[in-house]
Amino acid sequence: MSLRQKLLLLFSLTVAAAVAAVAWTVLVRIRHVFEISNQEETALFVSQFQREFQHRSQEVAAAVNRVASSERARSMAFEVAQSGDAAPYLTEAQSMAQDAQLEFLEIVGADGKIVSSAQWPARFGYPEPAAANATTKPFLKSEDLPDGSTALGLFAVQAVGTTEIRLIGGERLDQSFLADLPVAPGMQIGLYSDTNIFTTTVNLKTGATTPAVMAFDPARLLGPNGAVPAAGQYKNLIDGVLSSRQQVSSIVNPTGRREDSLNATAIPLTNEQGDVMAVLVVAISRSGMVEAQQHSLLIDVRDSPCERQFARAFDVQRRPGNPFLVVRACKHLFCNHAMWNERRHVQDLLVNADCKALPGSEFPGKVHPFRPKPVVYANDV
Amino acid sequence: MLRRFAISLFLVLVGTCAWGRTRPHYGGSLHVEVASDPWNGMARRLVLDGLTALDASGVVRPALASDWQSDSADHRWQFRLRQGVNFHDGSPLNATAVVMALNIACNASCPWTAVRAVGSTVIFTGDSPMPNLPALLAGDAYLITLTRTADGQTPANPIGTGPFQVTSLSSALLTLTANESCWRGRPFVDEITITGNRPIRDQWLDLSVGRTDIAEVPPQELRQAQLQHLTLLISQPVELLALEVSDTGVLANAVLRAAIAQAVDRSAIFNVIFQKQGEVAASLLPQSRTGCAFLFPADRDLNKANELRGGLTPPPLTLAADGDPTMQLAAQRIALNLREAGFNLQVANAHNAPHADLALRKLPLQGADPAAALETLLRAAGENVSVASRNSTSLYRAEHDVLDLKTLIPLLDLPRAWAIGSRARDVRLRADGTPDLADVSLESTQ
Repeated sequence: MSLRQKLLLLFSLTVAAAVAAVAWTVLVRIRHVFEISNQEETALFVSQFQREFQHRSQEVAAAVNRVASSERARSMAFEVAQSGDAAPYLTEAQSMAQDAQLEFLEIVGADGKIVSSAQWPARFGYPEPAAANATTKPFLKSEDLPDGSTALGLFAVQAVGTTEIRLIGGERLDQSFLADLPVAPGMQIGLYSDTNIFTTTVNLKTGATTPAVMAFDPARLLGPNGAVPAAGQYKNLIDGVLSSRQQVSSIVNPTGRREDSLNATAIPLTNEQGDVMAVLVVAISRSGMVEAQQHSLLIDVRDSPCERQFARAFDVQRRPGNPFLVVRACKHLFCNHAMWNERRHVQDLLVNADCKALPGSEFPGKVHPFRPKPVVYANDV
Repeated sequence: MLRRFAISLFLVLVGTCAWGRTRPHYGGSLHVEVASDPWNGMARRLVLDGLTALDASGVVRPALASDWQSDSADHRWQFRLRQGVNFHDGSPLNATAVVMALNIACNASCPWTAVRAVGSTVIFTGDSPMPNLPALLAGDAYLITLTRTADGQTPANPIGTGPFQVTSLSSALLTLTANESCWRGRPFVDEITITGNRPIRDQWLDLSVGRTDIAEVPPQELRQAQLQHLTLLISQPVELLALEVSDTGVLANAVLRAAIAQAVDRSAIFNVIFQKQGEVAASLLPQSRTGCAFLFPADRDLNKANELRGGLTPPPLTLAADGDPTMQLAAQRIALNLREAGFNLQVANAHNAPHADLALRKLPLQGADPAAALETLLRAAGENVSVASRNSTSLYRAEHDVLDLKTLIPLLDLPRAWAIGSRARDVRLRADGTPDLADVSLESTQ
């Protein structure tokens, strides 16, 4: 082998290594940028969820407080305390709940047993442990309903006057609650709630509950518009949250296509005892990142011959499933480029490689229009 | 002397005025409001008569039949029709019309095998003895209505022989006018309007402003009605709230039915849902009728229920109840009780679940004769049985045999009550707890 050949080989190897290094760096960079973006969006949504949650909590607490301080409730509490007969107030909770626009309301006697229940009138006489254990701070509780189902609710407890009679009222935390949250396009949210998952055995006589984890039920994962598509794909994510009681993130692929995959984060919603009452799922589409990784977007060949060589090498070495991202600052710079042939060559390569040439100003919007702009500068390449 | 005469005259005048005030007046229109369909038991009793009738104390009295006799050990009954009775359209009551009406009214669980007209008598024959036939014929199911008019047409409105005839009938309003030629004599009021499907609170409101004269008071609302100082007429227990349990499917297992019977908490239903009105019942007939109701335990035994169920996990069952909110609530409570005993029950409206595994129903408790009352009740529950018991021991045995099957679980004996307005006078209750409006008169509007 002649020196010339050796030099050429060395040069080629150097170029190839450099290209591989740059490609890897670009991919890592893109992934990193998108991950940060996803985290920021998730954090933003979670903070919005918490704000709304706090707001609803305050509303529920205020409504229960209003009912408890009403003359009607005080009179009822006085009569029950005096006579010890709560039977005449069997339907009282229903009318009180209607007045206060609460979905759930129960009147609980001094003995901890239900006097009247708006959501399940037949439950009178059964104990309601939540009324005794809870503080004035709103809390999450799953509520059994007459049709055998359960509903997750945001509850508050308030004593009526100075008596030991308490009101426990709440609102349902379901898809209508999610519908009120501002959700960015490309983001999917869901709430997985079913107390049967966590408390299978409820002793109606003593009120004692025995926690146990039951099988994942995709029908329990509801979004703002009803059932979440391909909810079964979230099984591992939700099971992970239920077992660890901590936030878990993973990639979910509902259709099997990479561009439809989602970056999902599951956040546990717990009660005061730390039991997971529901799981909030926030999933952000990865289509932008996948598109960015699958398409060579731009080549900046305006600067040095070295960079032009890189650009050419990117396209030459491009293989299906191993795409490169090539970045330039501004598309029209091609026209101003001194080496017209070089420009044509690069453009031809781009077209042959199913690539697009975009100006830097368009780049973030095309890649992902609704998130912080991931910018990769030509100089970084 | 003159002074004494003046005082005596004054007292006589006052007495005359008082007597005049208590004398019933003819005329006027009586308004009644009910929560159910207006063509209910009360209205049917005003328009139609049976061959026999129960008086206020539940004793069987002649009605369209003037007398009756049985032979062949109660296998054959002969009822002689009252003479001079006409239907509202003027056609005379005869045995053929009665037989036609009974054949239409009678369903598969008919007490008799055959009924035929012979002259002015109606003859019932049965394969088994029918000791309680006169009492059974007093029931709502066997009221005589004209099935064909003189020109062979089917009447648009019910035509009977009762003190009132139907003028107009719709789903919400029934208008009745007095039958001038009623065999019982003309009723006092000229017209009765029965407004149906009216909520209870609206009825009471109408009563308070004089828009109605008689309003319904369900047992669970009695306490509230008393607090509102309504004038109330309350009957003895005339209905049995009972849980009918199917003996097919998974409930063909008698042990499961027994577990259900043990799991139901009657006291909660009585104390809270029905507001302590009526009485808790574990027997089919009340203590006042048989004297042996106390022998049937009414207490709940959840441990025994769980023990009886053993390791069996029955599939989900359906419990049907009327659409009435109180009945639905009682059904929900029973479902909750049974859930504790390991049964999974879904409550449904009776209209939507005709073949439910369990049904919560109100059954009639009528008649002074316990055997007849028991047979009437069992027939209403769909049991085609004949009760011939004439003493307490055999009656207890008959009741025990039925209850031992666990297909009928008694829960409560319930009264009926009505709120009466200031205009209506001489309102009395029938044996079935409905007001007898044939003898009601109205205070003079002047």
